[in-house]
Amino acid sequence: METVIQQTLNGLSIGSIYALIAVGYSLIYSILQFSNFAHGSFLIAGAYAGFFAMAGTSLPFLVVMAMALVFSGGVAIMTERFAYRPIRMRGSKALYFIIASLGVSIFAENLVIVTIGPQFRTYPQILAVRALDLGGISVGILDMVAAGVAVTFLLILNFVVTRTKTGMAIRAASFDLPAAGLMGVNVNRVIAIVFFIAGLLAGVSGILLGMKYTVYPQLGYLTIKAFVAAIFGGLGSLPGAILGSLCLGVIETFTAAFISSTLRDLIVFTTLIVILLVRPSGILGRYVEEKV
Amino acid sequence: MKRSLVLLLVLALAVSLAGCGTPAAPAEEPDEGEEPVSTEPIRIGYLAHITGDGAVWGVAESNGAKMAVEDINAAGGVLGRQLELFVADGRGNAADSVNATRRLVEQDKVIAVLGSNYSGVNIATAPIVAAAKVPQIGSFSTNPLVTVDENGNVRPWSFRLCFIDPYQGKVIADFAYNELGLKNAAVLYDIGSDYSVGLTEYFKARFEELGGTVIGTWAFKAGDVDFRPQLSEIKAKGPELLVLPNLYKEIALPAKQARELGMSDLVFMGGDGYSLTMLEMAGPELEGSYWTGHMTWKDPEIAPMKDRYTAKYGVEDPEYNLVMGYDIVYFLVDAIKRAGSTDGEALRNAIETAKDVQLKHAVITMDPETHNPLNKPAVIEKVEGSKFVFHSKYVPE
Repeated sequence: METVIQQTLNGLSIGSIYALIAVGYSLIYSILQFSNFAHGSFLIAGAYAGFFAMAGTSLPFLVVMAMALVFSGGVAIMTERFAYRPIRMRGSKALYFIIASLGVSIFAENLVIVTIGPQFRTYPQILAVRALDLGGISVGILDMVAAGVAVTFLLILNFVVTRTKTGMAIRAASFDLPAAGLMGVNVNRVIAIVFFIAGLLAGVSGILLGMKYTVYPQLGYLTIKAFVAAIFGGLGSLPGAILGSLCLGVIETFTAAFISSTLRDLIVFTTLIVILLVRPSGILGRYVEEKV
Repeated sequence: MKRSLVLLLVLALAVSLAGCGTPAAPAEEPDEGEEPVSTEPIRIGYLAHITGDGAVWGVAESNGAKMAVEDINAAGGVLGRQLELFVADGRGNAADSVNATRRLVEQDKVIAVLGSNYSGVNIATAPIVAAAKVPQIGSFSTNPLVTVDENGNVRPWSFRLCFIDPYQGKVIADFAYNELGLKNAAVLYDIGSDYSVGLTEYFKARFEELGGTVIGTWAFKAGDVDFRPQLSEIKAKGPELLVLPNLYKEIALPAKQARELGMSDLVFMGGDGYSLTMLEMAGPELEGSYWTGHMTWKDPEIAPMKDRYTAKYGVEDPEYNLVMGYDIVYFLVDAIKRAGSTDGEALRNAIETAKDVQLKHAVITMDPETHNPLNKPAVIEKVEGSKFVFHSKYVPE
């Protein structure tokens, strides 16, 4: 029993970070209808900005965090402005966005290798690597902080999307982008805001991942898992992305623990295929008929 | 549609012709010139991982080789010729390394390929160097299959300067069981790495042969950063020793997470995948762990090289790979001198019969049966006070 609880906690702590990535990814998908593979680049932008700000300055932690997040959000806006907007203005298909996003992610990884170097960087320790022992079950302090930060940011996002005017514009745009444009929504501005939010959330997860593990140019590969989580939960649905991420984290951990760690990815991706076959729109996704 | 296809074919043909034309030219020169002594530089290839996870070692190795080439050229070169080094980036994986090796032998026309430090890579490049009749000398590629194929036949063109995984697995098992008195062990290894899988097998076989118990082996995949699912299981079984036959990132992160999960008395051991970098990633968590390696900076023969490297490249704590990169060039040069030529066959024979070659880090005698060096002692290092401290030189019984 103890191991089951321990493994569930392990799974949830992994899942909460997937959730931050998956939400941003899902947000962009819901507006532009394409898989933004450059999402991992926003994540490493945040992770490295946080690392350098923290290792190089003596500013308080929260200020450093904020700077890093503005940076990763900025990188996301720039990516949209220079890589996606020209394609969008030409009215090209979603396929071209996907190809461009792949290009951006490879570009970003190599840019980091060339400029910063391929080695692993370790965040200065702010929180001691310690665990609370609750009767045989250990809960990492950093994990709890990470989960807390993730929940906070997701609540803020929820507030912005459901309670503000900008949020309404985002929802309108995700419902039908051209129609929202016709109704007077400044589409370019909404898209820029969405990218900023997505980049910011990816930056948060980058910093948390950097603190938990280390920072390296391939850190962005973790977003693949978040893509899977987003599909699990239903592409384009924010609660779905969170639910999918937590499920994925727990499934992964349980597979590794109770079945076989070698079969983990095999089982995760098999589940993905089964979900796509049985319920193509994911757990919470809406299935929308193609409008002719 | 058809016309564009024809155009494409013509283009492809033109490109492939152009590709063949240029590198072939210098190769023909010695034949036509019929000069007995060439004054052209001797071309040496180095397969190193300059980018990717393994760059920490690859950069050190290729820089060490560069230093050796500078020294040799300053002293007048070999057979009256200068050396020219071609470094090819294998990016830490077999696919890119195969391409890089092809480029070295086909385009750069090197007489020998030195490196790399990965077994999986050198196993993949073995058929290429064999077909091209160019000897390859691995640096830290420790899997037996690098120099001996699955049927037990020695690969004529593949060599190495390091000891092999069975030997290293044996060292870890013997040291843990006999010296540290540990009886229960678990292994957390990388299922996708020949090195890690090999070391796990040899450790397990030897540890059980000695009378110890391996309570289980748990696998992960390269790129994983969270090992808590496996570690939680390991914790439940309560071993005294956790063997981490991995590369430094997959040592530091599980070590850190194991301590986080409350396994405070567990002893970590591993092979030569350790690196100084991992002390940055996990400092206090690695306290009291033991690592088997190939050399140590406490060795007065190699200590000056460290200072020289630091002065030249500005790296405070360089990896041992720079010494291997340096020595491997001198080892090759010794073979060239004895062969008296750079002809592939003659060079191969000279490498195979190398005897008591004095290098910086060791004296090497090549075993013609296995193409491994004979009886190299292993160095055991211990982490104390967040530093690697030389523990002992160890030769298992």
